[in-house]
Amino acid sequence: MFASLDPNTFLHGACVRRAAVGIGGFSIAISLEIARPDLEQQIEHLYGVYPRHDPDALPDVTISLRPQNRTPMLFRPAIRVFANDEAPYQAVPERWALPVLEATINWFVWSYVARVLLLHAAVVELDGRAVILSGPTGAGKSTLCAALIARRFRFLTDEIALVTLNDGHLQPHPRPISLKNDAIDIVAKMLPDAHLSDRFSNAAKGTVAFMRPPRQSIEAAGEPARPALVIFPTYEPKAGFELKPIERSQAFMRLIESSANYLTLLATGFETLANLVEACDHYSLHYGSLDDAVGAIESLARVSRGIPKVA
Amino acid sequence: MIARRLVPSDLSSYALTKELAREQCWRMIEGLKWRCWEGDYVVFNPLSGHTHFLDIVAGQILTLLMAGSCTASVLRSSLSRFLEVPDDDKLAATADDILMRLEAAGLVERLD
Repeated sequence: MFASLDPNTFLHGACVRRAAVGIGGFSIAISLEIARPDLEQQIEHLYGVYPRHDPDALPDVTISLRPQNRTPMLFRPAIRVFANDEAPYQAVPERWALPVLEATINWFVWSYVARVLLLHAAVVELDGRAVILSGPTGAGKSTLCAALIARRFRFLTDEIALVTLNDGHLQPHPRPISLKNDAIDIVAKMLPDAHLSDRFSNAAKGTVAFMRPPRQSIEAAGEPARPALVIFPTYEPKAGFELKPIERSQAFMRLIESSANYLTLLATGFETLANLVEACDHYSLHYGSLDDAVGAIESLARVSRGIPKVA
Repeated sequence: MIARRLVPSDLSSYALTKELAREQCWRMIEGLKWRCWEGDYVVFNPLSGHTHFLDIVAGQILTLLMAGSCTASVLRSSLSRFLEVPDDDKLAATADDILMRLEAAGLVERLD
């Protein structure tokens, strides 16, 4: 996946290694300006199956991983991740490069993508109908996504839903799925063939690991999906199960809150979101059991908008 | 605007204020975008860039103004029929309050 640039191109004392992949309408170049074969391997593990982007064409963004001088706060070798020469996060120890790489790609999409309405949501699809899982961090979106993948849903995104402005369809953005704490083992058990990254432990965030999306989802990244169902999940350990329909106006206002660029899109944002809301059924889901939640979503996905249940 | 300038210092001026408020003409701001779902309204104001959530009563006033400008008394009568309640002082106070809120949100304006 990675290739060296011109053998004479050395930055920071290391030969620059570079890879470019296409991810659902975006081209992302990853430039390693640090000699860390293990890191290269980690990235390749997650992104190796993505379609390669023409290395000579200009990518939408170049993500560069550069060494940083040691600071009093970071006694070990540090790294900083840049998106087109802007670094949204502080330098971190080298072993944290992968999570910060993922966070930086997310930051780029949130900050610079203007041709779509951006919602903080996960999206999966079944039989041509997209299910949007909208909720704050910790609501269980990624775990639900992984569990729905195990039920043969197609994965579109676990973090950033991209709604195209002209037709309101959901554009896939199948990046590695971010799993935290107990969810890592739950998913590893549920999907024994899943490609999981190393685990990254941090006192503030707990343990994080990334799951490579299924190959079929990556290959279908050019195929948008039609929105059909919006679920607002809330996970609470040992909680019961409650599924309630919610009115479209309420769903609309909640989705505005989850959007990164609704305000900047003005009337186009209003029309795009209103059309999406009108096309969908909306539910709030409070759950403590993953099986209950997945079963409910699967049933709703099959019957939403009166489409007959598929045997 | 006249109603705002008058101070109800005595009964006669208070009555005049009410009368003028009743005859105050209102219109909807141009270019609003809205949807109505299950009786609730969401309205986008292109001048402010804000999106507003309106209940059925405020939404009904906006719907009436969509057809064209009209006076507060006409709005009140229409609202009375829509809600099936008497056209009395209580309804007048409610309608005035909603109009003030819609005005503050930049969704409607007074016609001088």
